Amino acid sequence: MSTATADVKVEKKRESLFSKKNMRLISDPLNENNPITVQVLGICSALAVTAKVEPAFWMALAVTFVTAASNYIISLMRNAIPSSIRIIVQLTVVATMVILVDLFLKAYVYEMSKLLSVFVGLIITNCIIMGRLEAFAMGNKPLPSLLDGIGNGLGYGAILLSVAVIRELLGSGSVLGWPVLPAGYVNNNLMVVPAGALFTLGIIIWAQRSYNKYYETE
Amino acid sequence: MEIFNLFIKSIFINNMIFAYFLGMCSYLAVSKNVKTAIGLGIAVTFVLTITTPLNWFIKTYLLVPDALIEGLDLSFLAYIMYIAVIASAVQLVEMIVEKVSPALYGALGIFLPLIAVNCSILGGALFMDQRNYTLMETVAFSFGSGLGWFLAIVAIAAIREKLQYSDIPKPLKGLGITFIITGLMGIAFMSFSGIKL
Amino acid sequence: MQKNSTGYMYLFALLITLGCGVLLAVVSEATKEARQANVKVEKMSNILSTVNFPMEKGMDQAAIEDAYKKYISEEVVDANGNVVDGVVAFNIDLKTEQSKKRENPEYKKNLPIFIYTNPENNEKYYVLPMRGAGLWGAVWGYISLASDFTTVYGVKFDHESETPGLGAEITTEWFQAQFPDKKAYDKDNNVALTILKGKGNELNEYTVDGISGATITGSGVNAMFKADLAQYTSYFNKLKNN
Repeated sequence: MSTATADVKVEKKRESLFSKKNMRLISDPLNENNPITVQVLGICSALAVTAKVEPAFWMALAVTFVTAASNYIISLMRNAIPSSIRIIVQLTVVATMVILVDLFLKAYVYEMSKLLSVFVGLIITNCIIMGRLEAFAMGNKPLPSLLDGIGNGLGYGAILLSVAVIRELLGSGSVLGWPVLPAGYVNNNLMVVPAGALFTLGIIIWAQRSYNKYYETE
Repeated sequence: MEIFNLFIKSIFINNMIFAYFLGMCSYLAVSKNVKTAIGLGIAVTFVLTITTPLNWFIKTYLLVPDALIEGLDLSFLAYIMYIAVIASAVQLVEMIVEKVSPALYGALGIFLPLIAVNCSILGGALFMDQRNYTLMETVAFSFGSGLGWFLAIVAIAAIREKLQYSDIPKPLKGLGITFIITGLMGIAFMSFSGIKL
Repeated sequence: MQKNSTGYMYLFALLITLGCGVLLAVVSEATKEARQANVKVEKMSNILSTVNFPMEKGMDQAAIEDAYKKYISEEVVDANGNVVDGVVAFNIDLKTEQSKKRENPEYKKNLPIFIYTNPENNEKYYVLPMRGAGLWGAVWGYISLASDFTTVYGVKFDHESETPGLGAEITTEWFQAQFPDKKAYDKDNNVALTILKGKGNELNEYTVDGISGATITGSGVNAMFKADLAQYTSYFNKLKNN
């Protein structure tokens, strides 16, 4: 799992919220240590909601909230959790956060909750969240954990939204439901079907890795 | 007939990987060689077929409004209950398999703990819930989905074994090319949606 | 207490469970009304939009509910056209009715009808709910017929998980706008309304264009027309003969 963020030491001096170190917690996952393209986590729910931009946006928001909130809560309790039931406690907290999001969507953003359907529930098994809890929140103070959660949520959201923008633009000729491409454009159905998400993500990974010079050796 | 129809549909058309991307994490991580892929595939099929009907019982006799006590609606606990059932079922299955068949345990053992956080298992429970399947439908759906997942991971593992000998641009190696090949396989699987059942 | 002792473990687990349980119960209770109202009002606004009731965008829930109560009356009938008493049409779940019928062929389905009376000319329109299977999951919708019991006045479709951009297009304006003034039944009272394959077909009074690339969703909707609209013919015959 990630090595860049796991070894943040307990700070002696009180540092400001926007210190360089804390900002890195947010900016790192956006590119160099992106949870999807580099750490290969949380792909399950990432792709099914990316045919249009709007559901992808809400999904990204929901995941960011759940990651940040559960990171914060687990970090608060990190010294009290008995290690034998660690995983089940983490799952319970994550599931509680996800249910909160689900109830909120159903009550106030009903249209979106219908569109996202089961994929809201699937946030529970999104490996990003469990991964961050284990790798970061269990060993760090609440505030850095919160930032780490937000950062990873945003990094996830960034990929989700770029895939969604490409798919909606080429597949339906629009962005956020607004027609963008000229009327003569013939929609590319390949982008709309599930396979389109995989191609788009594959190519994004290719581009990002050649830019970062990050290569996988098998 | 309708049950059989659903079974075939869950394997080929509504494939967990190619149509819903569920269980992608372990699909990508454990597909470097065919042998381990077969092990994980069997384990997922096994756990999916056991836990989804189990969750059906939880849902029908505990969570639906008025199921337990008149006027009590526990459906908001659904996600927590499902994941708890899955986690404990995985634990239980692990213990039973270890006792009953050490050989099978040797083959599946290392994969079982991984499965508790495999999205396709929770996904199976959530689809069962959302689509209001009957018990028979649930059994057919979960077994079919498991087989579909098995098929997908074994197929990609076989392809990846061969890929090692191909000349792929460096940044595309590994994750990138696996996505693109999965996409191509998904398109191939789409042709199944033309079958009239 | 020792952090790794069994007693502490149970205590911790109990506290976590209690904490999460209470939190969720409170939030669930607090949002219950809003959630139920969403589902109810969505159904009402679907029915109203099928009869082209003028609904402004952003019309609030209370206004939709008022309009529904004012202009829509409900009725439940059986396949022989007899009115069934003691069942509320709005609460009938088509999926449950269909699966009861599947399990027990003797079962008499309750068929809900929503009747809209246009306040301007007292013209009556009949809204029939339908439910069938698309490519990936269920498709359902409402169709409203004018008082000749065959001319389509409006439709509204929805779906569970059709492909966005393909099958999911059945919910779009252009697709649904093709239906008004088509005929649902032919002269012998058989369901004749049909979605053809793809666009640019030669159309008659019973047919509309389909969605290119979504043939299976289209035939699913056709099957839904055939099965569900046929159930109401005896009821309409009775009304005609009166």
